[in-house]
Amino acid sequence: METNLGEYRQTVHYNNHSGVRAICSDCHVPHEWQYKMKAKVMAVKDVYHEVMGTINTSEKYEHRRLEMAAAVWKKMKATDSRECRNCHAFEYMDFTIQETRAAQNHQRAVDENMTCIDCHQGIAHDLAPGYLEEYQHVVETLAQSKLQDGSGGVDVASIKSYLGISAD
Amino acid sequence: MLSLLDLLGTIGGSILGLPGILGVALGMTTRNWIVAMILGGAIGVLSPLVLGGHHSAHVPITTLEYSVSTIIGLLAGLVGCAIRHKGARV
Ligand code: HEC
Ligand code: HEC
Ligand code: HEC
Repeated sequence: METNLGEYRQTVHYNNHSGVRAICSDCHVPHEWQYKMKAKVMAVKDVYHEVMGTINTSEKYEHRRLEMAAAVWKKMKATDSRECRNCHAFEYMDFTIQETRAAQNHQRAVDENMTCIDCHQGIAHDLAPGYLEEYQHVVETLAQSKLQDGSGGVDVASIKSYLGISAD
Repeated sequence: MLSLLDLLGTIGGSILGLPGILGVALGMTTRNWIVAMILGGAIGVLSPLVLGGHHSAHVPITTLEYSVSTIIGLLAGLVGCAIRHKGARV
């Protein structure tokens, strides 16, 4: 986790002009009691790996980064980036004062039902090579399991086209 | 989302959350096993509704969540009821 701390200190969520800081738990631990408890139970695994030293050197860390990032993406995609939305929401954004690229993309996100993490991977940490392919893979697997549930809702095509991967 | 870790997390979360805690508490209010199960089960069904969801993200509460928390609620109700029975005997 040291690696994450260092990287995060370079980002806007650590220091910014408004002085509002988003800390690890703001992005990684849900507020709702139900999910918070669940996250705490699942974090037992992280404690285990910390004690066992699974990622205690930066080589070991980089080796595992993509896999760990994918786990986070899966969760964020499945929850519609819930933790980001504790602080940010499209409804409260003034598109007229955002830069054009941001405003256009956010309008599109609203129209096409996309979520923050679809475009903002690597918001707080470095990204491993090949992350776009891995992200796409995460979204597709999720879409498939949703289809089996019959609840649908994941627009794989629009995410692919945003990522610049030709929709097939 | 059906990984083992996710399932374990959901179960553990339910035990530490309302279904576990309130389930046992309500179970202890009765000596009737059936009533204890119904009370615990009701908490299990209600708690994802009350404590899940989100004000601005559209997060569906999954069937897995409902079933796990209902089952934990039922079991907790029974445990509470067992405590009541046991306590009554001394
Ligand atoms: C604790 C509240 C909080 C959470 C949670 C949070 N943010 Fe932020 N975010 C902020 C603040 C505060 C700023 C900086 C505002 C400023 O520029 O002063 C910011 C800035 C940003 C920016 C602008 C970056 C830039 O370079 O200007 C992006 C993009 C962003 N957040 C995305 C996200 C995403 C994606 C998530 C979820 C993974 C997230 N945020 C979670 C509070 C939060
Ligand atoms: C379709 C892609 C897309 C989606 C989905 C998306 N964004 Fe963005 N966002 C962008 C782009 C592109 C920019 C501009 C470049 C940048 O700052 O990274 C941006 C910029 C931002 C900024 C900085 C705006 C500014 O003018 O300072 C914030 C904050 C932000 N996004 C938050 C979010 C949050 C929160 C969500 C989810 C509710 C979200 N975004 C979803 C593409 C997207
Ligand atoms: C602004 C939101 C935000 C904050 C703050 C944040 N993270 Fe993350 N974290 C993410 C996102 C999003 C990912 C998914 C990978 C990615 O897109 O970079 C992630 C991924 C990770 C991973 C998986 C491995 C990796 O490098 O991708 C770990 C471990 C992690 N975070 C730990 C932390 C720790 C520890 C802190 C506090 C020092 C922290 N995070 C703060 C958003 C955040």
